[in-house]
Amino acid sequence: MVSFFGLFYKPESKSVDLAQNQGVQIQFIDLAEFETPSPKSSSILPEVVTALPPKQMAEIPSQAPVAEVKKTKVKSESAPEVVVKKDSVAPQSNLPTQSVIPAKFTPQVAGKFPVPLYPRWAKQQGIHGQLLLRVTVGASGAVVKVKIEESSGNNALDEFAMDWVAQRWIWPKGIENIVLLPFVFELK
Amino acid sequence: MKSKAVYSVLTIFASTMIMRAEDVKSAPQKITPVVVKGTAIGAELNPTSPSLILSGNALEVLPQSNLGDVLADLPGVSTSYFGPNSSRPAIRGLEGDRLKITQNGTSTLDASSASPDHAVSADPASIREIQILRGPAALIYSPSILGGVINLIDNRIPVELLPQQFIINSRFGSVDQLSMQSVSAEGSFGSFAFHVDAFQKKTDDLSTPIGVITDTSSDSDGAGLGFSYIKNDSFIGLSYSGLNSTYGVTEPDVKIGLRQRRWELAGGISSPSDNFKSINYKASTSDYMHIEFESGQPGSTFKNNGFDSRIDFELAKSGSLEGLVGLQMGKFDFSVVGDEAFLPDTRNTSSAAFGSFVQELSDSSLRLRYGFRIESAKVKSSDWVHEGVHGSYAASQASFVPQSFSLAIEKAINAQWVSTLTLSTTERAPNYQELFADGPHIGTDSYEVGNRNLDKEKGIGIELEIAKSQGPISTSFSIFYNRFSSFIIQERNGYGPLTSSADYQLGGAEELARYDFVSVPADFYGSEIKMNFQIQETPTTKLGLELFGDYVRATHRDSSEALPRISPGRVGLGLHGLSQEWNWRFDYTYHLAQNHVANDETTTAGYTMAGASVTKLFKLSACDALFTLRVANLLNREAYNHSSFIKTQLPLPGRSVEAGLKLTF
Repeated sequence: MVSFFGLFYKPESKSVDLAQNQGVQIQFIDLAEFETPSPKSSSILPEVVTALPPKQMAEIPSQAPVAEVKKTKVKSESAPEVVVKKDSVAPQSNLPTQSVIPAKFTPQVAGKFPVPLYPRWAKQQGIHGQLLLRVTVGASGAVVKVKIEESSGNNALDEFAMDWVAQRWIWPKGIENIVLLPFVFELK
Repeated sequence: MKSKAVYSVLTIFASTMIMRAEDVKSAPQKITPVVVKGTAIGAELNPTSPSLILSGNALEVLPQSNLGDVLADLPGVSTSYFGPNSSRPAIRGLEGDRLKITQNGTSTLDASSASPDHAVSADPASIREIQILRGPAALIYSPSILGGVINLIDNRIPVELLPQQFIINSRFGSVDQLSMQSVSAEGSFGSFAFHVDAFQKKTDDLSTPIGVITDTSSDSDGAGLGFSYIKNDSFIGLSYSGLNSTYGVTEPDVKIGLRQRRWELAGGISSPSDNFKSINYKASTSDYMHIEFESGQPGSTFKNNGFDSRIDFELAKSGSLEGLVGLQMGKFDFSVVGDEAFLPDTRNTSSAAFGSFVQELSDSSLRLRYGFRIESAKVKSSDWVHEGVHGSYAASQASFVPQSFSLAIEKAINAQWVSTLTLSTTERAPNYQELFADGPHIGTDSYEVGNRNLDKEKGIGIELEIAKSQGPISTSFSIFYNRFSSFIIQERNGYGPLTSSADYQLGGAEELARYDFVSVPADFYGSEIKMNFQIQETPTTKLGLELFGDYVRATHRDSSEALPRISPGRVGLGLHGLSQEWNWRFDYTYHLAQNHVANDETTTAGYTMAGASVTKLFKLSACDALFTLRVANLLNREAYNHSSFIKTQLPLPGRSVEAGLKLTF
């Protein structure tokens, strides 16, 4: 049983028990928090913070908002034998210290986290916005589920981000994880 | 070219995590946002960044009758206005082959640069994005960059998987009874993406303040179909498109019937290796033909069959240097048969190597952009038996190696102001017409005589731009001086030859004014300014005042005489805003009189034009609707465009109202 708090844990943040039975609690973070980013704030790159027993991960229900477009690439999670030593995992999640703003999206864990090009169709039509994805990473390192936590207001743009992460992003093997991933599509 | 995006990352602070001892509760961690930047214009530059992009609703509110009209209000742009149906843009007084127009990065392969009465073979109804490139970035398409390069994008080959979209667009106009309908559909199936579009456009004779101008109606339709296979970081696609158009050119009983069929192949791969950010290739073939009908009888037939192909290697950023290098190769056969056969058949080939680079310097306020283009251009004429100034010709060939270079030095004066100094040296190979013409050209009512000994057109250009893009007051001001040691113009030389040939009796060819293609030293200078005062800016209410103007003066340096058909410029005020979800704009522009004229030209009076437009985006049941309404020449002024070949016969359109509705499902 691991219990720790992020450096910026805000007790007043809205906590929703999404999956009571599975005991996964998700902390919502207001999108406004990255609308005006402070250069001083630290960044957390795709680092593995925790892992749940594979079974429990697999059972996380897709609590789907009505408008949700689910692009799930369910890979059979046949890795029940993976022993996740939480103690060894925890140190990696030494949450934000005062790090420098990365000049590029430079994940600090092994894996593949390519950043997409702005889609031409969206650029031409002036479609922009920000969205929040909830990404479930399987033991294989592949994304097993992506959901929209907060929509950009444009379904096609939401889907693009979901597809991109589901198909392109690969975490290190062996550690399961759920992350909230903000995507910002910015046009000038 | 695949659109580029620039990435950066904003940081956020992070996540929290709660885990309860009794039942393993964890909150997902929130990680650094992925920021995808799709900068249209501005500071985020890459080696292919256009200096201006028009797409989406910004393109939708512009007039759509022809390419010249679409771009006419941009700083530095004037049009050749040969009636409402053929109007090519000119930038900074440079037009024709000096202002390259490409379609999806390859040549349009039409006959529009051969004569001002020939329409550009890309109808605005099927164009989804217009890019204007200047300076070093323009060298990836053309060696002749002092005016710029216009790249038209029709989206027919998808470069990525596409969301499903269905668009119906209608437009109606009062001044020419315009009726235009277009549809397009896009989507993806698995790894395939497709695009289909079609349009139909009809106009009647044009109304002007002095009455209806006959023989200016048009009837066009076009369609395109394309699909791509997209896998991970690569795509390959194919498209086929066609355009048919029958249009009047203000001459009694003359109609031009145009037909083009075009195949395009394009593909690309991102990050194929550590050395390349992307590799993209394109090839297009075009079968273009237009027939000039006189009283319903085919008179002359112009044909252009050819291909153009290119490959672009976008280099991985190495240190502070980003770059793109590539090769382009094309060929076209151009022929004119019939009454207007003023040219021998020609085969035109060109191949080019080019590069464009952006380099950050250790002084972070400085940035360099530079580029090169070296071409090999050949024009081969076939045997030509005809009567004319020069008589019959044996087959011959002219070869040129134009070399162009450009360097732009950008200096950030402070956080808001940026100055850019651009130095260019450009060369252009003379085209088939400038070399080989010898005959009556009805479109311009002239007898054209080419010169087989012409050398390359050569010019150097210097431009200084100062711009401020942030804050409530934004502005951009530029001055330029383009000095040609050799500039190819048509110089009046008495009258065309009297011949007995039946060919030359048409239209009184014996009396046609003769124009010789000659090379002269020429100077172009001018400036452009745009300044916007944003008075109010909230998400729902906006109000801004814009001041704009441009000026160009072109002179034959030896004789100090003006070069012909140069629109001198304009100054204007625009008021624009957003209120009650309506976007609106009002413009009042004074177009300067042209008193600096060529020998056989007359002066053109200045005139004022007022116009207004409103647009509204709204939901119509399940679809997004865009309504546009435009009023042009509000004051119904009788005005003449100095850069038109036929300005004295053809005033600009009278007061017009144009309404459009675009529905996106």
